[in-house]
Amino acid sequence: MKRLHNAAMAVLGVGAIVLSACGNAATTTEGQPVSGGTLLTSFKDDLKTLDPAIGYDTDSWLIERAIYNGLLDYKGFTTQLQPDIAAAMPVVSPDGKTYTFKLRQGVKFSNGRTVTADDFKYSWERMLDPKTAGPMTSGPFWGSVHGAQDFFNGAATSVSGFKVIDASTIEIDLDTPNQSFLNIIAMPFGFVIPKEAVAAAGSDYAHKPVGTGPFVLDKWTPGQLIVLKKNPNYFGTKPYLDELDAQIGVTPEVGYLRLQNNQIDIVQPDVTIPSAQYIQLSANPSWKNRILKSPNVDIWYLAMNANMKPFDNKLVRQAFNYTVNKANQIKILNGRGVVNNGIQAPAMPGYVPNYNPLGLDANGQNIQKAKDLLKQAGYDASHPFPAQDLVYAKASADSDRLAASIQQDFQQVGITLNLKGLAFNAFLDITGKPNATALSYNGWFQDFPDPSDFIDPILSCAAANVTANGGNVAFFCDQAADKLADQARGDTNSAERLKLYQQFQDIIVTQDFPWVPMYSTVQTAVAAPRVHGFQIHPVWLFVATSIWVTGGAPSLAPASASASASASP
Amino acid sequence: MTVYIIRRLAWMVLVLFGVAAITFVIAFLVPGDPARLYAGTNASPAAIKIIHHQLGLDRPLWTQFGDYMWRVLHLDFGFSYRYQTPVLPAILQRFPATAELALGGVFVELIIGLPIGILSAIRPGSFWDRATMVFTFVALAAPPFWLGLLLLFLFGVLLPVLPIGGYGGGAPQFLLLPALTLGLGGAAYYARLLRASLLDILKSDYVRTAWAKGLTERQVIQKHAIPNALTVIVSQLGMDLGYFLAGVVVIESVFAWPGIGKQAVDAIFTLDIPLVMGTVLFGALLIVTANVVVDISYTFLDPRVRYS
Repeated sequence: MKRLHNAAMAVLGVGAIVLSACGNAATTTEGQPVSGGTLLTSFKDDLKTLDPAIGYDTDSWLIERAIYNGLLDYKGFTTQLQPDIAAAMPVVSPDGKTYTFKLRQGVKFSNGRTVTADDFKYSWERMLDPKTAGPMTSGPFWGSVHGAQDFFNGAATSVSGFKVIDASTIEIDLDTPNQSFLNIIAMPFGFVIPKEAVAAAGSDYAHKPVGTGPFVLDKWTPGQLIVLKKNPNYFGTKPYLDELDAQIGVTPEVGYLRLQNNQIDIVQPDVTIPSAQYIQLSANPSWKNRILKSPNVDIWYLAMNANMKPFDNKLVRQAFNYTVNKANQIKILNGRGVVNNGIQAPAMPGYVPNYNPLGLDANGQNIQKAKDLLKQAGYDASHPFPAQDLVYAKASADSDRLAASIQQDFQQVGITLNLKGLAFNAFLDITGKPNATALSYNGWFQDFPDPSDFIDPILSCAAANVTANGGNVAFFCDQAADKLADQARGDTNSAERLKLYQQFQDIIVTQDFPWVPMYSTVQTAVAAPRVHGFQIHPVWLFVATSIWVTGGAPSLAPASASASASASP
Repeated sequence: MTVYIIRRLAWMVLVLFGVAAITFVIAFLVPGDPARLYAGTNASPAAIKIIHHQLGLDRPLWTQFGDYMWRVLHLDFGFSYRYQTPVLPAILQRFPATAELALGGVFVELIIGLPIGILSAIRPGSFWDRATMVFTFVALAAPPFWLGLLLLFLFGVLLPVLPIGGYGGGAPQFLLLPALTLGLGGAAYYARLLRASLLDILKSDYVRTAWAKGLTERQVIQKHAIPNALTVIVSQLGMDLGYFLAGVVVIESVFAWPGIGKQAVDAIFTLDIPLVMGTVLFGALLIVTANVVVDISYTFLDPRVRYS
C-alpha cells in the first residue's frame, strides 16, 4: 500500500493459511455470539477523512470499511474475492478487457435510497475527478479504464469505460487487460456513495459520510471521539455490535495501560503492538496468550540507487546483498518477522517459501563472499570503500536500532555507514528524487494481495522514470524484467502469471541487485477479555462485523469504581 | 497609559506579521511535499501535480503568502489539507480543552509553588526549606512525559482512583493529573523564584523599618514582603499562561487531551501548512496578549511603575 516506517507497521496483513505457523491464537472466538453492546477502540491521531475518494491510510480505511461497500470484498478472513454489492462475480470478456457486474437487488444507502448502477458510475468518476484531488486522480490503478486519460486531462466530461447498461448492470471497459483489476475494484476507492449526500454536505462530505455498510456515522467530535451505530438498512448479515466507538488521541502507552485496566477493548487495531508494550504483555501470563499474530504482506529492504556511485557498480550492489544480518533485524523487532530474501511477501500469491538463490546463511549473510566481491569491484585496504549515508525514516526507537544494527554489519566488511534518520515526510521527499539518496532503508505494504502491487509501484521502469515522488527508490530499470511484468499483468492464466512474477523476482535478486531484501513483519494485536470473534484480517486487519462483546462495557471511570473491573483477564 | 496600550497593540500587529512571515518561510523550507502526504505515497506524479494545483502550491511563494495574509486579515485562516476543514473552527473547537488545561496548570503552579516558596524563605536553612528544595530539584528535572506516565500508572493503575487519560468532557477527575503534570515543574520554579526574591526583600531597608516599627512577622511578610516579591511571579505567570494556552504538546499527547498543541504537532508532521500557520498565529496572539496584560497589571501591583 505504501512506503512505511517501523513505527507504523500498519496492517494489511496476510492469509489465514499461515496463521498456525505463528504459534499464537488466530482469533478470540469463544462461545456463542451475542448481539448488542459497544466496542471501544482508539486511534492515536484524528482521522484524515471518511471520504472513500480521498482516504489512503489504514486509519481512514478501518472506519470507511464499516460505513461503505463496493462491488466485491474478501471472503471471511481470506484473500479470496467474493461479491459484495455485486450479485455475482463479473462476467469477463475473453480478451480480459470488459467486466460486467450485476448488482444485488434491494441494497440501500443508509438514507434509505436504493443503490443503482448510476451511483457506481458517479462514485468512480468523482473519485477520478481532478476536482476531487484524491490520490487516484490521473492514474494509479484506474488509469487503464477506457477514457480515463481523456477524463483526467479534461478532454471528456465522463469516463466512457464506465457504462451503465441498466439500473442494476454496469460494465467496465479497460484499454489493456489487468488481472489485478478486481482487487482494485475491492479497494475503498471503489466504494459507492450517493450523489445527493455529497451535494448536501458540500465540501464537508469527508465528515458526513453516507454509505451502505453495516454501520453509520453517528458522531465525530474531532480530536475526541467517533461513534458508529448499527445501520438498520444494511443488506448483509447484521453486525453483533450495536455501536463501535473510537477514542481519538490515545497514545500506545496510555492505550495499553487502559486495556489492562479494562478501560478500552482494542488499542488502535491497524497498528501492531509497539515493542515496549509487546514485551510487557508477552511477559504477563494473563495477557501473553491473548496476543494475536499474523504475518504482514510487506517487505523491508535496503534500496541502492543504481544511478549513483558507488552503487552504479553491480558488484557493489551484489556485495551488499551478502552483508546484512537479517536475523538481527528480526531480533530487534522482538522476533516479529521472518527473513525474506525475495521481493514478495509471505502469503502473497506466488511467494516462494525458503527462497534463497544466493545461498545465504541463516542470518542472511556471507561475509567472505561480500569481501571478495568488494575486492573484485576494486575496493581494498589501499582503496577503501567510501563512507555512505544510510537514510531511514526516524519514527521510533526501533528505527534507530534497526539502522544501527546494519551499520555494525557493514563494519565487518570495512564499510562505514553514517546513519541519517529523517522525519517520514522528509524521508519520502529525499528518497523519491533521482540522484538524491544512494542508500536507504525502506518498507512496502500491499494495497491488495496481488504480486503486481510489489512490482509496478516500486520496481517498474515507469516508477523509476520520474523527477520526484518516485516509488522505485533504487531508480533501477531492467527493460527485460519490465516486459515480464507487463506480460504478467494481463495474463489470464493464473499459474503462468505467477511463474512470470517469479522470473521477475529471480532477475532482480540474482542478476540486478537493486535491493537488499531483508524481512517481512508479523502483525500483532490484543483485545480485552470481553471481546470475542476478533481476528486479524489479511487485507483490512480489522473487521468489526465478526466481533461480539460480553460483560460490562469499558468505562473511563477508575477501575475501582467499575463493577466489572479487573486488572487481569 | 492609553498611548502605551495603543503602542503595544501596534507592536502586537507587527509581531504577528513577523511570526506569520517566518512561519510561512520555515514551513516551505522543511523538506517534504504536502501533496505527497495528502495523496498517499502511491499516488502518481501526475496526481500530485493536480493536487499541487488544487492546493495552490504551484503558485510563487510570495503570491501564496500575500493571499494568505489578505485572508487572515478577513479572519480566514484557510483550509486544512489533512482534515479538509476550515482552520479557525478546527482551532476554536479544540481551544476550550487547551484553555481548561492551561488554567488548571497555572492553578497548580500557584497553589503549590507560592506556599512552598514563602515557607522556605521565612525559615531559610530549616528542614522544611531543605526538603522543599529537594522537591523543586526533582520536579524541575522530571520530564513531563515521564512524570505524566508515572502519575497515570500510580493513580490510574496501581491505586486506581483516577481515569487513565482522556478528556471526559472536561470533568475535574480527568483534569487533575494533566494539570498536576503541567503545573508541577512550574510550581517548583515559582517556589525557587519566590524564595530568592523574598530572601532579598526580607533583607531590605524598608522591611527592617517594618520590623523596627514593631509589626508582627505575619504583618511584615503579608503586607510588605510578599506584594513586592509577587511582581516576579506575575511576570512569569503571564509567560506561562500564554505558553500553556498556545498548547502543551507533551501533556496533551500523554493524557489524550484534545487540545490545539497535539493538533499542531500532527499538522507539522503532515505538512498541513494552513493548520500550522493558523495554530502558530493563534498561539502567538495569545502569548503577546498575555504579555501586554501582564505589563499593564504591573501598574496595579507596583504603584512605582508608570507607563507613558
